[in-house]
Amino acid sequence: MEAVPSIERLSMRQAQSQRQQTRRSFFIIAAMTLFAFVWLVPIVWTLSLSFRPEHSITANLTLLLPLPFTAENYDFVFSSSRIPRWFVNSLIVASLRTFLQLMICSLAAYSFARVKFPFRQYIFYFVLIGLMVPGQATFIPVYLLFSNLKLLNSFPALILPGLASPFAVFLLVQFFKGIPIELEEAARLDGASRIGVYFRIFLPLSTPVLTALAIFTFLGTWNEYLWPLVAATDPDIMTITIGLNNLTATTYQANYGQTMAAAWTAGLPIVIFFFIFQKRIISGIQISSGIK
Amino acid sequence: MRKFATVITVLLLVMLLGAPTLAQDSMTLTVMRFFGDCVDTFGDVTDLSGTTSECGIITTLTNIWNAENPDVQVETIVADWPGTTQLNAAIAAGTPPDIAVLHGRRIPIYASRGALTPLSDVMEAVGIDASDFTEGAADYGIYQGEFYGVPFDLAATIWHINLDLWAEAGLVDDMGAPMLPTSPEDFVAAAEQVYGATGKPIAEMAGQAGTVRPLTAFIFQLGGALSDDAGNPTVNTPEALEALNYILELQSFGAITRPYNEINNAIAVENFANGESAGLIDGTWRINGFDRQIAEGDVALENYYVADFPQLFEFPGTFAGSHNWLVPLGQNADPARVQAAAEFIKWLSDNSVVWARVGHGMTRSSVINSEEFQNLPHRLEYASMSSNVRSVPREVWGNAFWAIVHEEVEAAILGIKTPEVALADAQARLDDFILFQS
Repeated sequence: MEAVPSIERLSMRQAQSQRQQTRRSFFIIAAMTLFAFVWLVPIVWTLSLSFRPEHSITANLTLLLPLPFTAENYDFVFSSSRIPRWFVNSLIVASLRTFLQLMICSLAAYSFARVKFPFRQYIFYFVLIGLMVPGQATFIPVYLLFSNLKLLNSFPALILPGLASPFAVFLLVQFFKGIPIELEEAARLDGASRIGVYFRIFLPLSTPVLTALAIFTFLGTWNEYLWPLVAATDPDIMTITIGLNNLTATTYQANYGQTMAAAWTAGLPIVIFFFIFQKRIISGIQISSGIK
Repeated sequence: MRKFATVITVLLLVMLLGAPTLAQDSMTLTVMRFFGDCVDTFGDVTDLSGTTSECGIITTLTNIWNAENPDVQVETIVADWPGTTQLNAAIAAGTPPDIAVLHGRRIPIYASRGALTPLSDVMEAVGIDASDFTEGAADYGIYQGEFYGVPFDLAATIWHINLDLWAEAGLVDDMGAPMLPTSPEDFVAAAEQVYGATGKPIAEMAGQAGTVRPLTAFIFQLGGALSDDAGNPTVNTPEALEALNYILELQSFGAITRPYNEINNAIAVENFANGESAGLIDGTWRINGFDRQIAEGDVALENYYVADFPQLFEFPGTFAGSHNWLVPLGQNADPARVQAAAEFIKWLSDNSVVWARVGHGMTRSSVINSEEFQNLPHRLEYASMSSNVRSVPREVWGNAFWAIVHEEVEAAILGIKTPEVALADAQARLDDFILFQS
């Protein structure tokens, strides 16, 4: 008989805790919806601007709805016969740089993580110093180098400077160090060479981190602006970001509609890319930030 | 047979000897410019009629030159505004373009480092008449008494006026022109009249159009200067203080403009187009846009007038930027290339009236007085601007002056600093800049 009130009390406590949890969930969802809304408004605004005629934009800049609606800004952007070329250029540059960077940096990382050689640690620290040097600081020397090599306005000029990435080396070294040494020793006992171990053991086991790096490198290269701006002034070599910027550039008269249409045109492949690879991108962020 | 062989040999020799000469005769000049890339629309166009955009006009002009001058072809490199990133890199690499366009106030930075080719002599040689430039415009291309740039246009601050709202306030004369104020008191009285009749401000000012541009204009109008005899900046002066105090008065008085922190340039433009303000202080580059909006009929603005920036004090003076063509081949450039570059620049300058369609002011008296220029919409309404403009001093600090003074005037308008402190801080920052440069 005494158990009844305690069961009641228990179920009451459970119901209360459930109510609290529901309330907490409600507030969390409400807060997240609010943050998502705040984050989405500028994006929706840029999309809306890209579908509005310029004279209507200057008459009412802040309108969120594309009224009056027009596709003329996209007509303008796509009327350029060079856009497919710029897309292909961006694709070539981003893909090749991603592939080559992964190859070079993973080999370097394997050496730092597993191969013993004189001054290994110091050389590794030296590579890490690269993380502290901003790209702008090396901008002119790199430009001079490529100019002297007569490589400006060529694909190598757009691809080569980003190949040796201290961040990629650092990330891969940390990951490779986590791979049990017994696996490597077993492979070596079975007759695998060092390079064989690298290809057959390390690379397959590193798929998550390599995928994450590949995605970040690809996205970063696709969106890169400053270096391609000076390294590729020939329209045949330009990447999509530079080409579209030139198409919509004016000196004083901001052409918001065309600029936004160009931004969406250049950014849409990346948005699609994100939706396809979003799970891997998120796991990549977790890996690169040390969360497992 | 021997004769024939001799003739053939002589012909071959002549061809061989002549070949290098022929090759040297043809030349390709590279022009690095902003104004955008519109090759898709204007790639082959050589007809200028109806073209009103910067990109369209400059591309068509280049096409015409290339069609008429097979021996000196011009190749365009489109740069990102304001044109300095790619130009700096190209100069650093020793591969500068033959011609570039820059804002006049940046010329001293490049000229002082020997990156620009002096142009005074070659301008004379190719027939660019320096005396044809209006007094104010010529300064934009000069550094230490030498032309390093050929001023192409004047992008000035002007007063966009809604005539209907001014008419409501009884401030339009029988000729249909606005009755413009000529003194600080007049300006305030006119503002009160317009505000009383319509409830709208008379001259909305946002961003730089409310800070450094009116400040320098009023300093010039008060007879002040922005540099001393040694070429050092002087912004902490009695004229600057008077000008800044007047700007603060205008900003705090709702009949002139909405509060500085409640508007930005885009909103001020939007307000004017929608008839929410009776006037807008902004650049020449807005004119075509407003005319287009009026023609399309979807804004409240109907009767539109363009006036010079108001002259409220003793002397004429207003802000303008100026696009200049320059030759960044350094001090020891190949004279033949410089000559060819100067000829192309002269050709652009001779055709600058077409460029005026964009809305920019012109730099040459002969162009300003031409029928073609005067027939362009509104151009006569603000024609005196080309003579009233004053350049920032032709010193290395001219460009920095702009950013620093804007920030300090803004701080004064927002009440963060008193006008005295703002000007003193501006002076100190400019002095630091000069110390750093030296």
